[in-house]
Amino acid sequence: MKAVVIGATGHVGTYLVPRLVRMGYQVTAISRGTREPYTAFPEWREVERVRLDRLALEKSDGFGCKVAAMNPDVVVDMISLDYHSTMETVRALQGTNLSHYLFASSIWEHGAAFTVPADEDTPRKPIDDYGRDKVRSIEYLHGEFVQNGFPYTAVMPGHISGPGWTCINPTGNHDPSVFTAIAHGERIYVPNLGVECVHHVHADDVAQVFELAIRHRDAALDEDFLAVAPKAITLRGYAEHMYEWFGKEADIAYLPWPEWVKVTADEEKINRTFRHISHCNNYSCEKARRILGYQPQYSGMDAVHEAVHSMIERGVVISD
Amino acid sequence: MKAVVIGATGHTGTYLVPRLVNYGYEVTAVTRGLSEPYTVTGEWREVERVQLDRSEEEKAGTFGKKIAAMNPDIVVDLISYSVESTKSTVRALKGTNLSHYLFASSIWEHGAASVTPADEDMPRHPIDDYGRDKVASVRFLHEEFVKNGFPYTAVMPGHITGPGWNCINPTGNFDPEIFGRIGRGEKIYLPHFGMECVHHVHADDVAQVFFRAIQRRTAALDQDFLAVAPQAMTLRGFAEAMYAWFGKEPDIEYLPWEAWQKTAGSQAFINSTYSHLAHSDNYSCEKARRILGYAPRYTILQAVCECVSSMIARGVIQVG
Repeated sequence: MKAVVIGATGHVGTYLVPRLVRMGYQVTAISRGTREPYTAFPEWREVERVRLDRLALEKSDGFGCKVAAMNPDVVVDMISLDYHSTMETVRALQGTNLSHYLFASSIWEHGAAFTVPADEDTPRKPIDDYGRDKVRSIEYLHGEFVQNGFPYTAVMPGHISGPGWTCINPTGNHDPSVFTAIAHGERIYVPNLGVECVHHVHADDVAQVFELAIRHRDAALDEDFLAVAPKAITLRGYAEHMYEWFGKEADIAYLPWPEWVKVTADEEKINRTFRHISHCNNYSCEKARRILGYQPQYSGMDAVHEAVHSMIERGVVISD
Repeated sequence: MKAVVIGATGHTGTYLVPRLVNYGYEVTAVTRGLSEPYTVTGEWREVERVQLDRSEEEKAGTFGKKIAAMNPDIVVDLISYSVESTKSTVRALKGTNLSHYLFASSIWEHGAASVTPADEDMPRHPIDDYGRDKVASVRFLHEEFVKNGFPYTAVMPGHITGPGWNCINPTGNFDPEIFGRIGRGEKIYLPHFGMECVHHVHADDVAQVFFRAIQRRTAALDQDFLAVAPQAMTLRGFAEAMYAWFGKEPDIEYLPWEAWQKTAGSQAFINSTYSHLAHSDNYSCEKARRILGYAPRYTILQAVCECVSSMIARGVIQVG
């Protein structure tokens, strides 16, 4: 049995590829460059590495056919960021021996929170291009399933966290200096009353959902699964928790949005935070639990602790 | 079997008393005045009505004694708002034939939202006197259970909603005119980005939790149960859903807190909104489902729409 993972050395691939090897798959890991996975699990030695530049190849419809030529049973597509990319790959895979195509979507198929926690049955009202493109891809995949039996499953991960990269901080953006400030007991600024939510998930738990969807293929076909930690957390709860984790007194100033924007004074950070708090991320993983037997191993804060540990080790966050 | 319901004609009592009568309890409804329940059903004809002014009787030290003299098997206490009140009632009931004391607590045992949806296993950090008093009462009840086997169960309802009174509106307070404006397609103002949550529950579903706790006494003793709708909702989602329900185009302006306050009708409304925003209510009803078999009848929007229909019928709001 052959599995091809596209975008294999990313956050989720780092954990999923070893899981596939342990399941007995012969795994081909496609990535653009030669970057190593975030954690070099031993199973990676058994993996065939292939370098392909998807964006460049897709311009001439040359990516999907290269994947199809590998004659995979399973394709896990981690990096299809737009609808055209999904279509190009899926078309090339039709008529092959493929038995399962797993598509990494996003919680941001959902837009501004309405009823919470949102689940897979909540209607999709994406509020940004990223989310809209994911929704279009899923609509296309669903159409292909209904019309041609194309065997897809979609997984919608939360804010993927783990050791090796920078996770979302308690101000709702990726600025690691916020963790450094907390580590020194210095003041941080949180917008509004800090009750908007973020919803982390450990990369290994996302990999678990993909693995279970492959194992329970029949139940997973034409279905989508939110891959999140059991609970979301408010920025306020997150901030207070991190001060406690670092053994410091919380020093949090809550600012009305216009003032928070002034204090932050960095367009990239402001935009990121705005995107997170306007979604107010809060999702349910009940469907994955019920249908796939998903058992998250990490709470959102467990996932963050690992990420922050690693940021300290790598010198990205400075603590005492 | 005799059941005494204190505060029997209130929101929850309106639905709980008929359930108890139907089950075969001889019910005594204790109320301060002669108020009728919000919805009168035939079962109420079989109910014994007793007038007692709790605060006056407590000053005289006679309230608990009068309840104990009724020789109840079950006491449902829906209106104990201070720990002293709880203590004096419980003390009077010791040594009687009482088999179950059900205490109406509140979701506001929980303070500012942190990990969401909050559940019964999370630590209590109440942020107002109301919540602190409820926590103190439940702690007292727990000690009485541990030391003396006092048989209590606590129920923590969300924002109780139903026909006959005014429910919390999409700006997080009780100003009925907000529903009026939405119904007429006029503009409303929401604080922040409208991402704070409220968590209504239909009074009949709260009654269901009390009733099931009585039926499953052994499983319910020394336990607390959140009584909420299956999902919470954001103020933004609430507002948009109400415009849609009235068949109007949403006309919502989002304002920073300072500016929003100027749009609120009164200081009382501002205070109420602030309390709701700061809590950002979002709770789980899984424990009641799992242990009591709670099966909520109403989604959060159904509960709200029943309430708003009644506000229109009673002329509380005019929508043209």
